[in-house]
Amino acid sequence: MTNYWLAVSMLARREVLRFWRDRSRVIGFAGAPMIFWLVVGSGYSDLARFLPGSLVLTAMFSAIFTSMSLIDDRRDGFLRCVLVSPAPRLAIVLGKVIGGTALAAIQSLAFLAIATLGGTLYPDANYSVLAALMVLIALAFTAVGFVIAWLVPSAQGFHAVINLLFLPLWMVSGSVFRMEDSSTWLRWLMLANPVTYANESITYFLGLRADGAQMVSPTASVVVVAVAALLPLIAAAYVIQRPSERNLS
Amino acid sequence: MIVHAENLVYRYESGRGLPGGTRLSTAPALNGLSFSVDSPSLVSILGPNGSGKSTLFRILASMLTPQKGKAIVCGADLSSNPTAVRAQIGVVFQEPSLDGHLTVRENLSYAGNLYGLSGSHLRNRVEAVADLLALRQHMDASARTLSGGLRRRVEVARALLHQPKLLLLDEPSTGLDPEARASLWQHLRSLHREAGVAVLAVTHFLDEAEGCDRLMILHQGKVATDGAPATLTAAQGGEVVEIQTARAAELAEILRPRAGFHVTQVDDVVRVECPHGPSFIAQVAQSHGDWIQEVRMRRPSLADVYFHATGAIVRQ
Repeated sequence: MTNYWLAVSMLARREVLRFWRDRSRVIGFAGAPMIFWLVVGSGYSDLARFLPGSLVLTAMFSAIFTSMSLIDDRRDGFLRCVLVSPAPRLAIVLGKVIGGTALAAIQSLAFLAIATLGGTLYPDANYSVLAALMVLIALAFTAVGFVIAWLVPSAQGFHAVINLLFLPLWMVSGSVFRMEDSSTWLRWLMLANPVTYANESITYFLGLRADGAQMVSPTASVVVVAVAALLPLIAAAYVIQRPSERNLS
Repeated sequence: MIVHAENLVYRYESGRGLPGGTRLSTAPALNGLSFSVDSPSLVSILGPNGSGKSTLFRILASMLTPQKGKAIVCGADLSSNPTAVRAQIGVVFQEPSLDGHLTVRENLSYAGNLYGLSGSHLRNRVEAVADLLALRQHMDASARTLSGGLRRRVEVARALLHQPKLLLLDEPSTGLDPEARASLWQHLRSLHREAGVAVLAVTHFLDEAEGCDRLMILHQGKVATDGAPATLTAAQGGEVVEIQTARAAELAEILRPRAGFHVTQVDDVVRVECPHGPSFIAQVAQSHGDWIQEVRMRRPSLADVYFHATGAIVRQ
């Protein structure tokens, strides 16, 4: 059991260390949502309105970025070294996902701290729940990113899948336009989209919606986000067990 | 028993995903390969491209599972208990596999964590392998700044952290200059001698194989020749005569029916393995003297053993 957690913590620590040594690239990447928030929020004279979506986008972008490290690891041969070691496959998933989640959560929380001026701007917000929620959202995106990076062998393919999957999910999540203003078919699409619940729950716990005004209950939202985090984690544990010729070179 | 491989078969699925669901029927990379290594020795595996040597390496390193046959490595079955095998083998890949973002020391200690090493025991092991591979002054250098030879030595050091019984290397000399190559093999030999580690190295350099205890030549997914280099060369016997001539094909046809001769022709050279070289040269000089441009005679070398086993010429 000690060996198990030793492998998990090593992979997670390595993820954070690599981030730290390569921080200019990463900050450039995760800074984009903040620019989106400032420009679009100021344009509509409603910074609060676009804050939840921008937070989700930060978690999403940094999770994508850290998931890409799996593709680097495969290319650099590091993955092969891990796969021929006695470290359990599940420990490899957990190590990479925990490391990636930590980075994505830290960046989202840093954004949250800046955007709320250290938590002073929104008096009705519940910051401890928000922090936990950001970790959960970061976990969900990182785990999905891991599964895609594991299945798609090239960086180009990874980007193609991400563009096709993540960005549309984010766009129809209430981040850009509200669910209550949308047409019926779009509303159904939003209800089927797990990212909507991430967005809804952040909006609620920031105190931006009065009780009863939300389209879905906050508890239901948190449950959906938790399930959305758990399912890809199970998928990741499954795909890594299957031996694949893809990891040879 | 370090390795016991029995009737290994592996076929790559290269046709997967082709239109119409067709699958290319590829020749098996391993086709019923068997061998054993009983005592910790220095074994080299040679063979032309496609002979199955890399596939064998991947199976022994637990990266591929054979479709047929079984392999026992360090007392554990590779198919049913790969984790037990992994804990006892050290693997060095052909392609570089260090993390360029990390220092040498970090590369080593992170790898140690994967093998369950931590704390002072890990620190001691890192120091020990650094001494063994003469890396002490490079420990805090970033891995990406190292030369090819040094990187390879770090990779060997990393593979030895957990004191494996068997060290597997896939063409470890790839990309190394002659000096780095010589130094690497010196380290491998002393490792084997002093630490008693069994070493199994895939290589395409005959001079590297010459310094090993044992040489296995693969051909078409099977072991074609297996033995100590000196024994194999001695067993080849007789002499090798090479006749350079413009009419090589014709001469080869004429010489081929002779009993006890092994005649092959490559370009403008007829190569004849015969029991007694001088008398053969005398005969050919008499019958076809005006065809001959040059004649060379020598004792068989490992290159001839290799040629005999695989039909492939070694170009060094």
